[in-house]
Amino acid sequence: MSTTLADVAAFLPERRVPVEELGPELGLTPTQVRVLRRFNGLGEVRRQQPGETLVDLLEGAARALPTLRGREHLVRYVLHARGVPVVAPYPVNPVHELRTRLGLAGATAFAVTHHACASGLLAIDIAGRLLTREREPGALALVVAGEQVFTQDERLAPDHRVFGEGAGACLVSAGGPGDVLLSYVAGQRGDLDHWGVDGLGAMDRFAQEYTELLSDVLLAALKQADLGIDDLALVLPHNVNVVSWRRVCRRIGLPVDRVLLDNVPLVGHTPSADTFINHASAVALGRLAPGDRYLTAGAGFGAVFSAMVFEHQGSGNMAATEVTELRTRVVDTLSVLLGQLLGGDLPAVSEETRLFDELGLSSSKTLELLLALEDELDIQVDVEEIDRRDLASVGSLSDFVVAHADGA
Amino acid sequence: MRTVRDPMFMTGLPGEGTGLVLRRVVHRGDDADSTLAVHPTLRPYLTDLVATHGLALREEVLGTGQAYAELAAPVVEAVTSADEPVDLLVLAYGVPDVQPGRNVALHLASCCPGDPLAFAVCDQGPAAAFTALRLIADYAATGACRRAVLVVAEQSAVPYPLTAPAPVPDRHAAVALLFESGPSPVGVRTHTALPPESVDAVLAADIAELTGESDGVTLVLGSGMDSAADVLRAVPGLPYTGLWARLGDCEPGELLVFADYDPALGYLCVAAVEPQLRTTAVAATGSPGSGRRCGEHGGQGLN
Repeated sequence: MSTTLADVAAFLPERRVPVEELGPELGLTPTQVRVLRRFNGLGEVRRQQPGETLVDLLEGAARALPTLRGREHLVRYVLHARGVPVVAPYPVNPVHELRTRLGLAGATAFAVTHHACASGLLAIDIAGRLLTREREPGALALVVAGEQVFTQDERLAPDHRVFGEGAGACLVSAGGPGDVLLSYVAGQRGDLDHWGVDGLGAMDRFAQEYTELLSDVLLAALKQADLGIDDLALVLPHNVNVVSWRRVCRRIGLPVDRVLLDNVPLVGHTPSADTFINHASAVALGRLAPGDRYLTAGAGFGAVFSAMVFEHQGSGNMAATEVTELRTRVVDTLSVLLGQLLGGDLPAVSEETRLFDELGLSSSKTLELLLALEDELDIQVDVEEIDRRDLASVGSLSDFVVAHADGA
Repeated sequence: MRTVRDPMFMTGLPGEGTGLVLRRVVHRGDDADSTLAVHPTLRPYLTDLVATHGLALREEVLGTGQAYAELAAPVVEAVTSADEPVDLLVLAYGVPDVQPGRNVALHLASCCPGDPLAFAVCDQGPAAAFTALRLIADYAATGACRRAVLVVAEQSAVPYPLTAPAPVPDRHAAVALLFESGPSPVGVRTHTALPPESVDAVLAADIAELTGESDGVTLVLGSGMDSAADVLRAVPGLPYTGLWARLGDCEPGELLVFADYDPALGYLCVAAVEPQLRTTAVAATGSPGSGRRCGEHGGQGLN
C-alpha cells in the first residue's frame, strides 16, 4: 500500500502585517527591510489576533479539510509536525487539546519534531508507515503543522526570511484516492547545528552550502521516484525567499516558473506548514492536474534538507499515461452517454459543459450517468466522497472518476 | 526500500520488512547541570514562552538543568559500534530540553555510525517512548530500517510553575536501546482515553494476548502503574527513562513485556519485545562505542 494524501487544507489568519511594520520588532534597519522586499521577494505575513492560541491556528487548518467531517471515527493518529521543538510551557499540550476540540478522543496524538521546517514532510512519511500496519480498513492519520511567532530567537537573524503564522493540515491514508507519495529523501547534517558549540560558524557554513545541499536532495528525490526534472509539473517550495529558489533552479536546470513562489510575498515562511499552504494554493490556482508529478521541499537549521515527490490524485500506482488515457476515455464516453440521455436536445458537449446549469440534469440523473459510465468502461468508482462540486461539469466529473476509479 | 548507504535517508513506496530484537540497553544518570543551561538567549526565549500562558519564570530554577545533546550522546555511543551502521534513531522525551530550539536528534545521529534518519517524538507524556518504539517497528516492518536506536531523555529543571499535574524527574537521565532485525514483530498496544479503573483489566488482556504460549515472560511496569505482583519496577524518580532502563535486566530467553499508564493523558501502553541481549558495544569492541565524534560529518557529502 502507498502513503497517500487523501485531503490537504490550509488556514491563514486574516491579519496582514507588511514587512515594513515588522522591521522594528525584528530589529531591522529600513535598508534591511528594503532588501527583504526587493531582493528576497518578501512582502507581508499573516498574524493571529492577540489572545488567539496555537490550537486555534491548527484547528483552523484541520476544519478546512473538506473530508474530515464525518470521518472522525477513522482517524487513528494526530501528528503535530513542529519546526521548533518547544512551543508551549510543559505540560501544556497543544496537540492533545486539538484532538479534544476535533472530537478525536480515540486517536493517538503526539508531536514530531527535530526536522526544523521540514518536519511536515517527515510527519507524512511517519503517518504512512503507521497506517501501513493498521488493521482497520480506511484508517486515517491527521497531520497538522503551524506555529505561533511568540519570540525572536536572536540566533535566527531575520535577514533572509520572515516567519509568518499560518497552518496546514492533511489526512494521510494507506492507499485509496489522493496524492500518492513516490519518494522521500532527508539529508541530515548534524554538524551544521546552530545550537551547537560553534553555532555561528555552523550558520555560516549552512548558508554557504545551502544551495548545493537543497539541490542534491531535490535531485535525489526525483531519482528515487525514477523521474527527471522534465517530468515535474510543479515544485511546492518552503517560502523562505525567492532568491534562494532562483539559485536552486539555476543549479539543477529547473525553470523558475515551475516553482510556486506566489505565496512568498503574501504569507512568508510558516514553519513546517509551507508545503500544505502551497498545495492548497496550487489546487485553487489550477496548477495541479490529475496525474501530475510534483515535488515539495523544506530545509532548516540543525540541519536538515528534505524533499518528497507525489503524484497528484494518482490512482494507486497507475502511471500518468494510464491516467491520461482513462480521462480521455471518460470524457468521450460521457459525451456519448449524454447524447443517449438527452437525445436531440443536446448542445455541443465539452469539458466545460455544466451538467446542471446547461444541460438541466438533476443530481439523481447525474448519478445515473455515473452508473452508466461504470458499465460502459467496466470500472468501479468509489462515490463515497462525491459532492455537488464534482458533478458541476463534464470536466470535474471526469476528474473525480479518474481519481476514484478502481480496476481501471 | 532504503537503497543507498550515504548520509541521505531515501525511501519510495513501503516495502516488505522484518521484526526486531532488543540487543543492548545503556542508561546513565547525571546529577550535574549543563553549562548550556545558562546561555544568554534562554532567558528572553523562556520569558516569551511562559508569557503566552500568563506565567512567570522561577528564578531559582532558571540556569539549571541538562541538555539532551550532552546527556544522551554517551548512551548512544555506548550502544552502537562502528561496524554496525544504524538506519534510524528516534528520541522521545516529555520534559523539555534546556536547549528549547535545538534539533537534538540530528546531533545524536551524528554520534551514530550509519548516518541514521533521526527525529524526536514528544507531547505525549510517557507514551511518547512507546510511540517511538512503535515507529521503529513500523520502519522495520516497511523495509526502511534494519538497525535502530531508541533514546529516551529527561531532565529535572522546569523553570516555571506547572499549570497541571505532570511527571517531573528528580534527576537527569538518558537511556539508549539498540534494536536489530529479527523474525518477531514488536507488539505495541496504545489505549487512549482509558480511565484508571480500567487499567488492570486491559493490561491483563493485553499481556495474555501478547505472550500467547511463551514459556517465560519478564514483566516490567512503569512508574505510572500500581501493582502488588512480583514484577520488575521502573527505576524510582525517573518517570520517563526509569522503565526503559530496566529492560536490560530481563532473564535470558524470556519474552520482555512492559507497560506504563499516564493518568493525565489517559494512555495505557503495553509492549512486547524479544530480547537477545549482547554486551555493550564498549565492552564488546574494547573501544569507546561508535568511535565517531559527535557532530562529525560523514565525509561523503550529500551526493
